[in-house]
Amino acid sequence: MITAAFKISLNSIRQQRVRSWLTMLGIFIGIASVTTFISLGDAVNNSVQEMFEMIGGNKLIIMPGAGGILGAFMGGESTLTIDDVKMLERLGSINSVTYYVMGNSLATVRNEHESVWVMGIPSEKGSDIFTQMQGMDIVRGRNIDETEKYTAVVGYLLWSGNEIFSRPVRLRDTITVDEKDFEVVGLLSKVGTRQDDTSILIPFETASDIYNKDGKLDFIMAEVSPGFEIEKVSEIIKNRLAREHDVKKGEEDFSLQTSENIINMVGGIILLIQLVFVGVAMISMVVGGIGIMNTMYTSVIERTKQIGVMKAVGAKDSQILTIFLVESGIYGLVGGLVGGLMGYGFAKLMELGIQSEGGSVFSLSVTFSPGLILGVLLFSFVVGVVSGLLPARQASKMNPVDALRYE
Amino acid sequence: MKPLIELHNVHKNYVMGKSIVRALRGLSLKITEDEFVAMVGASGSGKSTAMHLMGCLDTPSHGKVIFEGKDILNLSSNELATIRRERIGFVFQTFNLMNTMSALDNVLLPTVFKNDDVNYEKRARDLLKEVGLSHRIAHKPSELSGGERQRIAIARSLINDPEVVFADEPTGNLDSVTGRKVMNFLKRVNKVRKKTIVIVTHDLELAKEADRIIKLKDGVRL
Repeated sequence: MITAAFKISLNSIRQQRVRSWLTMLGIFIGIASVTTFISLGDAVNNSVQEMFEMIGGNKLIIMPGAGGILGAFMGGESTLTIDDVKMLERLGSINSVTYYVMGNSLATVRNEHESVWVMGIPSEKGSDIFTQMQGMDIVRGRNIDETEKYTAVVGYLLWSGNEIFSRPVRLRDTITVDEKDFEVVGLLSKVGTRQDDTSILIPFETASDIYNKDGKLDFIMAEVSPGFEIEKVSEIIKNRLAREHDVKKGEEDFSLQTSENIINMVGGIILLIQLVFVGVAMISMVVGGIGIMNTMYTSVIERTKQIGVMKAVGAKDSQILTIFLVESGIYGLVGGLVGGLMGYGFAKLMELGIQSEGGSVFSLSVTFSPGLILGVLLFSFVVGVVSGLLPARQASKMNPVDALRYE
Repeated sequence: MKPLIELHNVHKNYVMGKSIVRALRGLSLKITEDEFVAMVGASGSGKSTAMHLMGCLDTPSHGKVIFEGKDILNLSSNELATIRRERIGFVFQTFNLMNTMSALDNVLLPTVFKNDDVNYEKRARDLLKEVGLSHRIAHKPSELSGGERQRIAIARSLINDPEVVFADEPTGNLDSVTGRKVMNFLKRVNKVRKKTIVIVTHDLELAKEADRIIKLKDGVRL
């Protein structure tokens, strides 16, 4: 019976090709937006998580401004200084501390100018602390030496392939940043985040001069000593810093977060954004559902005579109901399938767009999630069936004689 | 001979717009097994309504309709559907085929609603052969002539091996030669296959072919 119901329904859908596609349009749009937003959100989440997994769970991150990770992206005058770093270094609960200043500059290699991230990293106590804490690895050459002012270590994408510079940077090349020449002494392994992989590391003082940072820092990272509880240490440092900066609790000019915090916060924000967009997409699903209902009502009326014939040859009410529910279910299912693939395609396009945007912080990787597609298909099928319920009921309850007489 | 269908003082009223149409006003009749009966009457005489009631497509307003010993008022709509499927075949004036389906699928349509796993395709092909349409199996109704369509409808009415075939003006939309062929075919179904046939017509010439004629006027027997 069910295969026959499919045959009858498909026949009817094919009979009205244009109308059928138009009917599914609302579902396409709804499901496409749902899929796009969910897969993009998940990709951002994964990318953030990867970034912090590399850093490790026992790190404290201190950034200027009260806005935390968002404030850091928005810029503004920094309030963190070397004194803060020194205070942290004196604490027994802190194992090691590192920091950087950061800017975006045009870098010139062999007359080629490209925008890159420049990070000024501390070298006096050994720049290895920085690279280790950041999860970076020097694959060729060496790190910046404490006595040097104009040496540089370059990120993975600068020396491998031709994405940034048409001719990859090599050891002992000269990179010019802000009219100063730096000798490339080391090449970094792939980190996986776009910002790190397109960075140039140079000595802290030099970068501070280039960007007129006046001894202010953009970022401090501290590793908690083994045996100390990260949340407690975080609370103590927060209070110490507030005292030294002479600000009241709740009005801090810095933000201190554990890596765990940041993952949760970013996850929370992304979830919220996803919910808002999916909510908007739901409106389209409702409209799509109404579209299906409308088409089904029309279809029931057009096929009144057919319903009469089917009843005359012995179809039960429930069988007529099934035939029409299968039809509206197919609208939902096909709508969901096409919409889902469209959404995945959009997300993939956005991923490519973000990747070709050189200055972007994240490298996104949108993955094809069978779970998401399955969920989306189930959902759109349910929307189709529910939308078809009333028209199908009307069809199943028709009196056979009235239906046969219908002209 | 056992009575197959009995109507006892049957009334049937319809609401049409604001007025009530009294289509049947106390009709009583009996159809016995293997009969070939013609019901005749002018339009509005109630002959089609009577056929719908005998064919379990509708229920009476008053009176009793007994099909194979069962009062159809006591049967659920599912039970009536089962009777229509297993015991009854219908042939209509306007053929009432599914336009999107092939001749073969049209003949198979009643088997779709059975809940068994039997493959009826051979039977359907045999029936199409019997009505002389072996070469038209894959054609859709729109590609066939009126006579061919009606022969598909007859094949469809026989697919579930029913006890009775109701034919409502089966030749009404056909020219006289084609109508003659369809009529002969129905007679053969009656004589060879031993099926009860009830045809409804206003054509007295045609009615003369039947074993028995029931005349209706204004919802009662004349």
